[in-house]
Amino acid sequence: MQDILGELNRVRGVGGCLLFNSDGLLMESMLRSDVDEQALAASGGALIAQATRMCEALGIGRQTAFSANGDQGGVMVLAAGQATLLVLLDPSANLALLRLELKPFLERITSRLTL
Amino acid sequence: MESEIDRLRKKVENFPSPSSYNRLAELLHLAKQEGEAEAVCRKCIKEFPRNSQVYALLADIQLSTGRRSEAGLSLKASLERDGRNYAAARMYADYLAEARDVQGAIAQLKLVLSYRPNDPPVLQRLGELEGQLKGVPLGAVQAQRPAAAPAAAQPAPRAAPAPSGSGIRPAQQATARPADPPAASTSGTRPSTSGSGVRRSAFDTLAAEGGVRAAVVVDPQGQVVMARALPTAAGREDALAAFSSAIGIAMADIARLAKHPTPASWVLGAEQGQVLSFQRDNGFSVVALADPTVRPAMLELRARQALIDLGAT
Repeated sequence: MQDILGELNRVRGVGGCLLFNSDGLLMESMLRSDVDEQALAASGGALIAQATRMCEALGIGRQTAFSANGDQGGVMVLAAGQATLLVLLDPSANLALLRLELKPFLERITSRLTL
Repeated sequence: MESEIDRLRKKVENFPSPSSYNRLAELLHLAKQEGEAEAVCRKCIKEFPRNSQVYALLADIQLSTGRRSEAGLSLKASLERDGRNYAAARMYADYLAEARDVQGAIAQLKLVLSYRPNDPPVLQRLGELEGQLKGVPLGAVQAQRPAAAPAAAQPAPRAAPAPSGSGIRPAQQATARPADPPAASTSGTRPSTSGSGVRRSAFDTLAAEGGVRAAVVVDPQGQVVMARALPTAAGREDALAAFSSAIGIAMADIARLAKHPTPASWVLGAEQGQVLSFQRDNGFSVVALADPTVRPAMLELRARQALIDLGAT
């Protein structure tokens, strides 16, 4: 899995990534050394839990993606099979392009997790 | 920031709107490109003469370049267009205080309290100014420079909406000096009714966008301030506000851990809809529930305008 995340980190606009499960427990990560990966996975889990509840309350079906964007970076959270992929974005990230570029990575992660 | 400036430059060329002009001028001002920032403000004033916020931005630029009298005129113009422009009102109060019109500044701040009661920065500043007047002859106060006067040169704090009120107008009129009547004293108060209309219409425009099922303005505690919803989404405004606030908190945690500033906007995509949240610097968010086909970039423009009308800088 580290090889896939390593490749993912080389995509323009990606500043780090991690995989966590539905309980917010870390599965794999490829982040800068100064980032607390366990805490980030837990916060990602909390975010997904709130997003799931929101989708249920609003009746808009299953969540597919979450992205947040600011002047100095952002984050994208995507389902990857049983896991969730959280990608930290650099300020230079092109969100639309990244979505396209992340698709094959999500498929690879999903297939790797189901093996 | 550079790329955002370039993006906005293109936007004002191809799809000009008050919000994109405001944002571009604001970023140029932050980047210390005062000349271009002022040119953008002036172009915006030509195209959107009712835009109150751009006058406040222009005043800030003028203050930072030492043109105080011009800044005073710009602040008056801003308040004439929207009597409840919090940023402009605070700047104008500081401007008056620095011009040794302490009573005028107090009246101006009381005017702010009429639509934003218990606002801590305003109450604190009011206390400082009243403290200066208390026990000290007015002439003595006016002869010395107020301690907080340089604040006028700093960017004004952000604003928030509140119910209209003009109960203190007589006090303001009573303190206004004939030679230099603050524009907000009368003309600045009256537009608050029309200002309310402007606020509603910007938010209504967002809610009326094709594909938008519901839109809410949410305060920092997750409570609904304003809401519009189609019948299909009626009754879901509270859930939209509460969950968006919870997601905002979780997002802020992630940003803190990633050592990023908290992003100003987020989009939650789902199979049969999407939720979009936009925030600026005053803690209020505009949250929309929309069809999956709606393009966030288009809604962002509307949401930013709504937030600016709500008093964000």
